Amino acid sequence: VEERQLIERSRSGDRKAFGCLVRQYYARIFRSALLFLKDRARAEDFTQEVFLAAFRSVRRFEGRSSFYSWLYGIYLNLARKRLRDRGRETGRKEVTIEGWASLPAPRAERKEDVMALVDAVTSLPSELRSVVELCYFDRLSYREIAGVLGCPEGTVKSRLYYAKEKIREKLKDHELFRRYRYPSDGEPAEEKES
Amino acid sequence: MSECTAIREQFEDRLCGTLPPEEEAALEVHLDRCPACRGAWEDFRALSRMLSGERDEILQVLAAPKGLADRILDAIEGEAAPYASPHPRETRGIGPLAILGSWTLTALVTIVYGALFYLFFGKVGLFEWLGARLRVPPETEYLLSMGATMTMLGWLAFFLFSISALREEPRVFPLSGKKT
Repeated sequence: VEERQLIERSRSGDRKAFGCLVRQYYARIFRSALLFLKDRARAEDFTQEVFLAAFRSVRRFEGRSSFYSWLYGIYLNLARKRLRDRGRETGRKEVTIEGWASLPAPRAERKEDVMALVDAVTSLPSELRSVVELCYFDRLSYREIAGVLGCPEGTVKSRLYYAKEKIREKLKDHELFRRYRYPSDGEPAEEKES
Repeated sequence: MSECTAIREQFEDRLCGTLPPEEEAALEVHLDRCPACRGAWEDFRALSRMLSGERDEILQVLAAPKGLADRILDAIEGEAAPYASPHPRETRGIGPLAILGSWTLTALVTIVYGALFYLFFGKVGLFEWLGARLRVPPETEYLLSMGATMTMLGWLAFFLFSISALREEPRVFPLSGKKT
């Protein structure tokens, strides 16, 4: 069934059709939520909150953007609200990368490298983190990212530059970065760039 | 903005090959004479390769837990359907307030209309003026005037309020208010 049909059916209250959309996109939203909240349990709850909000307002989705753009917009709205609420909380301890004990490990020897990179991405300000997520993890084009975030393509590109600059500052002395920066010394010589 | 900053903001365009040829040439000239920007460009390329090269493992780390989709669907099952109202969309949103508003507006418009007509023609309303022309008894003339005017303007006002009530959108993303 085409996504357009699923959306139309969802708009008229068909939960099964909306369920298909949930299965299609929940992993992406969870990933963004995890990078934002740095806590798996809270990210699961937040993902659920995003889809509940989407279900309640799906009848107002008019198809002027892709469904994922619209859904990501809901995620961003709720994330901003969460940030405001968090700002009002005082003395709350931030969850750090060390708290991710329950994460599934990639290959054991790569875990430290990958976690360092994930940590660098999570530490980005939200507007920079979003462009990295959408560009490198979701593999959206600049135009699609601009549509999702509601900004010009040029802004997407400059945010990508500043995001990478911040990641570089964080990882400049890390072995992972050095392997990519000086490929003749290590493994990854000709990885695809973008 | 310094020249170096402006040059570095073009790195993403250069990386994806969308930099116009003249700007590409200017950037290359700058990189040849600015070791700091040359180093920044190499760092930038390395970071881009790193983000692409480590993608699969990052996605594995950030993978959603099994059962999350089912949990979301269970939560949605407990939600009222988006079309919970038994009324069709065309009549939703027109409540007692809209009706009260429409008749308040009707009364105001009628008073203003009557006052203006009296000011210019010395009569209370259009129908009274017509009644005088048609030579109907005065009491019928008054009832005809006010009744017809109220009815006509009432329907007009109700129509306008109905349209505005239909066009009124609720908040874009309503929140449940639940703590998660």
